[in-house]
Amino acid sequence: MKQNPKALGARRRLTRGLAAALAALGLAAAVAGTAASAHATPAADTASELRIGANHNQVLV
Amino acid sequence: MGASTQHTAPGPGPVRVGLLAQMTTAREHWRAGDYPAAARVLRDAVAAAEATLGPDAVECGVLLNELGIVGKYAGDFAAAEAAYRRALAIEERRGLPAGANAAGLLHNLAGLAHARGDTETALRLARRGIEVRAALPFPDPAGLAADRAALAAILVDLRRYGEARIVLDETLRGGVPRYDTAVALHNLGSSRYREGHPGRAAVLLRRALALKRAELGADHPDLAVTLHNLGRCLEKLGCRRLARRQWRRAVAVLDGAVAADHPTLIACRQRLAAG
Repeated sequence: MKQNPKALGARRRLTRGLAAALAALGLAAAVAGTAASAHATPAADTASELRIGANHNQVLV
Repeated sequence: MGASTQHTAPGPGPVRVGLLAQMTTAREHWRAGDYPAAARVLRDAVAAAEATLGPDAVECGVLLNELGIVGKYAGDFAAAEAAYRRALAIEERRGLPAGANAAGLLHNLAGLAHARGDTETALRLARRGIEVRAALPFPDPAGLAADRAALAAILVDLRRYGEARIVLDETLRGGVPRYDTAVALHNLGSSRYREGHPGRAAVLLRRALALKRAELGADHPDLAVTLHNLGRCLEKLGCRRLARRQWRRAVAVLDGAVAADHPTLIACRQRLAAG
């Protein structure tokens, strides 16, 4: 059966979102001091955008 | 906080996955440049986290931190500070030794002070955040690199250009993600401008702009600060018409996305009004 490309795209986005959310669960554990650094596992690396401390400073001249 | 202790370490479950999925949604809104939508999702998520997991849950702090970040980008500095302080208070109430969460919050409070123009406070908080992170029981080189890159922007505003350049060059050599590279190039270019090299600065700022466009799209409000600084370089180089084009573009991407008193929006409008 041929897949609807839009549905396929939506499913992929959902999968990515869930993967990020699950990886972030690992981050929450790291933040609580109950696990190693969020950088220690490849799964956490894929969710690096979700890690605490993502603020960036930019100079206005 | 004995009453909340039972809520502080829930096992992974649908509630936590749902909350973190909301955080992912908020991040998507941020990437699309829709700060108000990101803030709405995060406020709802914080309320849900407090109701279901308790006010001292780790998730509340993580979500409040995200809310603070969005507030900073949107120019809603008071809301951002309130969110960061609430998150820090959660850390303190949990009674844990200062950890990665506290280091991240100090990093972000420093960034907020920097955005508000309070450079001395920003420096103090940024240094404290680096101390806390360096003392963690596990190594966090990526976190430390991000802290130092953020500190570099503060050093530029303190006219400590040499120190800032060393850190930013290290950041650029470190193979960081595209957005981090763009921000480092932006700050390096801004440093060059301040040092009296508008031509070199413009080259760096154009590279930063190209990376930001590739990462965030051409209409993202985060492009504005780089457009503004590029305009300043072009003005200094005698290209007034081109400079005004950058400032107009910056106003276009900021208008409606950030607070009316956002520093970059005000600066662009002042440049344009100057004729």
